[in-house]
Order: sequence, then structure tokens, then C-alpha cells
Amino acid sequence: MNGILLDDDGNLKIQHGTLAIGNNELQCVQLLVGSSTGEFLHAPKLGGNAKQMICGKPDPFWRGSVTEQLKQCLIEVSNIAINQSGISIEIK
Amino acid sequence: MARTIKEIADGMKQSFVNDTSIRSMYSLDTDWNNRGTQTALEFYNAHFSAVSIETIFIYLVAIVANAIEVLFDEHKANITRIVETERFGLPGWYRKMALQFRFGAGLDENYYDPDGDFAGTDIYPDQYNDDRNYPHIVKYAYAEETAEHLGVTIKIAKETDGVLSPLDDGTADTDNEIAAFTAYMNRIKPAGIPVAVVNSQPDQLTLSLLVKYDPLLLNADGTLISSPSDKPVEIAIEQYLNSIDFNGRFVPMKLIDVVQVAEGVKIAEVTSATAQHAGYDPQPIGIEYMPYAGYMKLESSNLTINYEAYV
Repeated sequence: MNGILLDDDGNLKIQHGTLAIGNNELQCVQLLVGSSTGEFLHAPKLGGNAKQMICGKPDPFWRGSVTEQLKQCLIEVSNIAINQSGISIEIK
Repeated sequence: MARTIKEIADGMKQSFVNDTSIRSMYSLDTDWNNRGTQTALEFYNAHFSAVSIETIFIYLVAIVANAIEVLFDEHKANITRIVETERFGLPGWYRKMALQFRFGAGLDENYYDPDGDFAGTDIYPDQYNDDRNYPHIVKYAYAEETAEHLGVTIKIAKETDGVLSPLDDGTADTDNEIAAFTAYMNRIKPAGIPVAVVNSQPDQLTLSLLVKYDPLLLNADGTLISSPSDKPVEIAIEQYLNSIDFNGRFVPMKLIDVVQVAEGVKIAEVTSATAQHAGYDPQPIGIEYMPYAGYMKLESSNLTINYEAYV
């Protein structure tokens, strides 16, 4: 899936004097997981709410919820793992 | 009429994927040629994620476009209202002119209004533009074209201490305000258009309500337990009647909507509602009632509220 890309700071990535376009699946995953519910005005139910789990107990339903939401965003996930170092998501 | 944000966004999505150069930029040409019966919108949704920058951009632009379309709608409605009010001879013009009547002021007989809008300062000579000595006594007016009169009917009322009443007719040592008003309207109106002025006592409203109240909040006589001088149901009824525009319709269902949100009210129902104009017989009110005089009055003796505890 191609789309406009962001740089590491979250700004629009410029390449050859124009907006960079490339595979944006990882970027979409990052945006979804890092967003809160209601942040996307056009899809208010979307939102990974990962920030809510910081320094807390991981929500046991979080994996299922995020998998479902990513599917709605056209991204199929094969595995989601939460450990001490963070969250790792494998895309099919 | 303004399109919704979704309608605008869907249109933009379709235009986006219909554009050949954009499709080639995103390497979508092969998919586009093999899309079969898929519409452009379905094609977009199948190739761009809901959280992609493109979709976010499109919705941002759609929100702005929607705001502009709503503003244009508002602007159009304002212009339409101005045209209806300002254009010579339309019902709105009669209403405007009725509200500009100054009691005790004479008209400039030889005045010709070059712009044709007949604004208040146009029709009265300068010495009469004084609100203290020549007051605008008509506070409420409504004008409509009526087939039965083959002309225009104007309903009017004045206001004294917040209470609406008809213009005085010269009886009981009062000024003959209505004669002056009628002469004024007949002088400024277009020739050949009969004008009927309705200047009468308010239609008398009689209401009976059944109210199921919460005994934790209200007493059996409808007063608040926390503030025994307040009767929320009667206050709500008064608020509703005051909210009706001049010559507006009285709708029992809307009254109930207002009463039911009053403090301590669980269920309310209008068990009987009648209206009586001048010397005519009272007539029952069905779905709605438009007062003949243009406004209504509810005497406290005509209001019956039966309170029943909701248990």
C-alpha cells in the first residue's frame, strides 16, 4: 500500500522537491497504535490508545482490538507482542 | 444546500483515483484496469488506509469546504429574508412598515422615495424622527396575503410592561391609536390593495393538564419541596407561551415537551385545550392552533393542573 510518507519527526517527508510517496504500512500501524480514540475525525472509533498502557497493566483485549482496527485500515497482522521493551507487530 | 462532510470527502476520493497522473504516481494503474465493477470510491477505500495521510488531508479539506458551504447557505437565507422584507409590496414589507408607524406623526405627502425601500426615515419628515414624542407603538406585526380579503391582512399588537394588548380605539378616554394606524397603512400602501387590520383582544387559552410528579421533588400542589414558592410546571407553561412568535402556532405536543423537562415532572399530558377568540364559542385545539388575534393569553383561572404522584 502506497501513500504519502512522514519523516522520523512526524513531518511530511520531502524527496526531490516533492512529497515522498512509498509503502506506508508501517507508518499507518505507527499512527494507529499511537493515536487515541476519536483522534481521527472521519473514523472516530479508531485509536490504539497505547499511551494508556504506559506504566500500567496491559489490557488483555488490546491485541484483538488493534488487530481488528488495523484490518479496517487494510493492514493484516500476523502477531502482536507486548513485552518490557515495548510493542512488536508483525505484518503479513 | 450544503453537502455533508462525507459527501464532499467521497467526491474528492473519487476525483483522486480518477486522475491518471495520481494513479501512476501511486503505481495503481494495473489495479485500476483490473478493478472490474468496483466504483472509484470503493477503489479508493481498498487502496488507501483510513489513517493514511491522503485520507486525513481529504477530510481536512472536506471539513473546510463544508464550513464554507454552510456559510453560503446562511448568507443566502439572510439575503432571501432581506429581499422579502425590503421589497415593496411583499407581505414582509407591510410588516416592516407597520412596525415603523409613529403615533402622532404626519407623513410627507409629497415625498417620492428614489430607492423605493420606504425606510422609516424616508416616509417621516425629520421633525417626527423622535421616539419620545412620536413613539413606535406597534411592537408586534404580522402580514399575510389572504384570498378571502383579496388583499393583505395585518395583525398587530402593542406591548405594555411585557403584556401584549391591542391598540386603543378611543373609547374610555384613550387615544384612537387604531384609527391613526389604519389611516397610515392606507396612505402608504400600493393603490388598489385592500388592507384589513386585525387589532383585537388576545385569544383566550384554556388548558387542563395531567402531571405525574416525582414525590421526592414536588409537593402535591406542584410546588418544589426545596423552594415552595416555585411551581416548575406553571413556569414551564409560561416559558413555552412566551417562546411562541407573534402569530405563531400553539402546539400542545411542544408544550408537553417543555413541561416534561421541568424539575420533578415524570409524565405530562394535555387532557383538554380550547381557544376562544372575542365573542366566539371556544373551539377545541387539535394538533395546533393559530390565534386569530396573533397572540394568546392564558389566565390563571383557565389553567387546571391535576397532579398525581408517580410511584
